[in-house]
Amino acid sequence: MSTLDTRPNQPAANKPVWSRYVHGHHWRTAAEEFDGAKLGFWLFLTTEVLLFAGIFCAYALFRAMYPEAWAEGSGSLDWKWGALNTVVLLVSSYTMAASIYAFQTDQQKRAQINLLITLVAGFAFLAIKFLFEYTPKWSGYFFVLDPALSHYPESGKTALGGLFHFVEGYGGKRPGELFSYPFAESANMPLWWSVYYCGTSLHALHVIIGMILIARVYVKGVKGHYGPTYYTGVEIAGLYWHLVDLIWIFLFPLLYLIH
Amino acid sequence: MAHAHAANPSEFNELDPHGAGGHGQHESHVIVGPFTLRLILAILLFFTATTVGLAQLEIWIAGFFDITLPLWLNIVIAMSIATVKAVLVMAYFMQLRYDNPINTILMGFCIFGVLLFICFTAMDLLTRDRIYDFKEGQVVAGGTFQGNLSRVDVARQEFIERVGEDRYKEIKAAIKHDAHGHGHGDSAVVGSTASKSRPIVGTTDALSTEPAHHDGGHGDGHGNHKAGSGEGHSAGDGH
Repeated sequence: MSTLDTRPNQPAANKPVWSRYVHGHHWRTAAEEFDGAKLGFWLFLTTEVLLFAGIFCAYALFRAMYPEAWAEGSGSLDWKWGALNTVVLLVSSYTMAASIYAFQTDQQKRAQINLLITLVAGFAFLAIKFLFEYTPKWSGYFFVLDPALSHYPESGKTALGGLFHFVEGYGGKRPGELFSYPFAESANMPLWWSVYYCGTSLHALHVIIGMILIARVYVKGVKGHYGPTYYTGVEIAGLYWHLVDLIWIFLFPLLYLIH
Repeated sequence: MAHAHAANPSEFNELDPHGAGGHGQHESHVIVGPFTLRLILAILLFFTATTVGLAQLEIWIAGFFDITLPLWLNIVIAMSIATVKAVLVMAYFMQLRYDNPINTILMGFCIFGVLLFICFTAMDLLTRDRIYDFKEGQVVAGGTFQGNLSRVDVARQEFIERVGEDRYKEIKAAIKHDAHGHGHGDSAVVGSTASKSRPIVGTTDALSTEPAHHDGGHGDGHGNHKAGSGEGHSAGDGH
């Protein structure tokens, strides 16, 4: 039976959308189309790895040249937030893979719930990053729920209706020329913060893009576009999300654990 | 018409010469079940706890027994665990293990490219002092420096001007106490050299109390002129 023969005889419209999917006419089979899409996306993922390689290269070489700045830098990061974010991303990678399994076995509700958990984990990652790491380091304003806040004397200054509390002399850990933290020891601390912000914000950007892809896949999933015979979109969004996880698996020990 | 893949010529399908299927199904793809996925997640979480635990343990051992642990131990352990985790994610979550091997080969070449990229840059940047020996005497304090001051010194001066000398010392004492369990002790700068790093807390190799300028010569990759002064800006570069 040729694929061309099947085209005029598509199932009736009351069947789920995914079962009516017809692969592109230039492919012999849907399986080939799926493999082709995956190959293309892996090719794209290699360019993503090369993009982050620039950051890793800068990290490795500046670390070799200015180890005292790198030691001081990793000492001013709290590994607990990094470890928590690692767990958040690993769990979200699992739920992403689990949603693909659910689509493959036509468990639509299960797939949707897994995709939603992945999305929530993405939000949690960004919230931890911005509320507990970027904001205090950049500006000196601590989120009111930050446990570290109790370690420092209150300055009395707050922002956004008491949501953020200012600690004098904590902020200013910024990249390059913007650096204004008064208690740095090493002359190259601005360089460390440049690498830190470039690496983590480029990664955070990928988290945001991944969340957009997953949200799109979720909406299409609710409409019934994915099922056992067609789930290419979920697979591609999943590959992207796992890459985000992969990058963080290396960023976490490099930035937080190696001194 | 003879075809290697068609066992029975009468069943040969010109649109599907390799017998790939044609039912519009993903039948050639393995479904990775929830048990495997959960097992992999558990292993990944275990390795995360291990890498954090070992990093803490190194600092604790160094502090408790007052010994120095070589820095490479810290790097090798953390990077090995990260590599194992990455392989697990790629093999099972990204399904490379069950996939067409071309995807794995692609990624392999990419990682090879990354290593080339880093190694060749290292060969250049980390050996410049060997050919730029004559510039050694012209090296000035680095960072994003303004005039003769690094950005770090400028930041400190601006802060002191703003709050006053007494208040500066007060805030410094309050800020720099061990808030996160990995503090910013004043002793941290002591013993840093251009070729060795040290943690902020505890004694590893380079946190030992040797003065900063103890190992000289050009044999250690980059000369000790960078140890205290930081970035190797040179007047010869036009800065």
